[in-house]
Amino acid sequence: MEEKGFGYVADMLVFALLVSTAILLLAAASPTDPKTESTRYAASFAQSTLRSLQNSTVDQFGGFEYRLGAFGFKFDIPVVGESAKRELNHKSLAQLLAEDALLNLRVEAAGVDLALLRPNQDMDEKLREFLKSALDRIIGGRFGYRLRARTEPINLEFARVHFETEIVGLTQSRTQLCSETMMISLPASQEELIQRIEEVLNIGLIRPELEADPIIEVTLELWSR
Amino acid sequence: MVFSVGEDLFSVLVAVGLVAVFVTALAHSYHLYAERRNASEDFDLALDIAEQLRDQVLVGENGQLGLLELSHERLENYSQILAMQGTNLRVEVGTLGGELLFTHGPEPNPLEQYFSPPVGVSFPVAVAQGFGSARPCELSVEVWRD
Repeated sequence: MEEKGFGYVADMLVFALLVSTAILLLAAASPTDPKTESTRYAASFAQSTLRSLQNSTVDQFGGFEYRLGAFGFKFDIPVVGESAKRELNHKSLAQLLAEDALLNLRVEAAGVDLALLRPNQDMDEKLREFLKSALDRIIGGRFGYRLRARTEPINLEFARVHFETEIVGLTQSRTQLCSETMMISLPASQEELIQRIEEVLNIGLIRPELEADPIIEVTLELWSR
Repeated sequence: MVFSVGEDLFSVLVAVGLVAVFVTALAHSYHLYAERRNASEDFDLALDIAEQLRDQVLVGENGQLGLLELSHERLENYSQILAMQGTNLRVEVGTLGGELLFTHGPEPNPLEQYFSPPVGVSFPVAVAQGFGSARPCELSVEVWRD
């Protein structure tokens, strides 16, 4: 009887092995998590994120400020310092982006960026860091991302005026799931934009033909992690 | 047949124990499989519901997409329509830091929904706070069938 008892145990162990194999097969056949692989969900998430940038105010992300300066020099002298500081806490993140585009237009001649006097250059750099930290919080590590903001280039006879910025959070990302775009109006009319370009170039322009409304195109790509 | 209390009873107990353990493991494994299969099948439904909440049901009076006004009344009406179709809904809105600001609907019962678990979808949204300010939040929607 003793041998028979051990025989039963051996049978049970074989049975257990078979059941374990079945469990493993069942687990391997399980579908993947749609939250991380569904392109439809990613597209909807990207739209939500863009709308959050449009509606959430800067103060909710800790506030945004920068100092006016020129050619990398900031007005940090105690008397001038406070008046050179700009706090933009009640604007939305999208409004900040549009303002940055208007204040930091880039001028390219023969494919080379011209170094012009840009008192708000500090805003451009700080805004990129600020937007990165805001996007990290909003997206929360669920996807990798790339945010691009650009204006349609204005081609002049001798130069090309445009704005372009990019914020990337793509560590360990694999495949692109979606790309969603929103348009924001630049906070300036055509006439104001031309005046701004004249200020930047420090010359008078023969009025170039511009699109009906100056706009900034903001594209958010989401990538699987 | 001679029944020996020593080895035979031990063998029977081991056999019954092993069968019980592996039947439980198999049932739980099937539960996990069903959960994932169900998640895939019901995911589109949950996504549709979450998008309707975000784009229609909870949109503020000025109609600005992505800016929500939280309202139990509107959610109650919407939940009742879903309940008539045998679908249950729970909505949570929390800050990006994880603080819960708003909840609506019953929590799913893990035992009742063991073989038909709820499916969840979440989106970043902005919640209107008055005085032109909007708070970045996360809208989480859980959907399950009766």
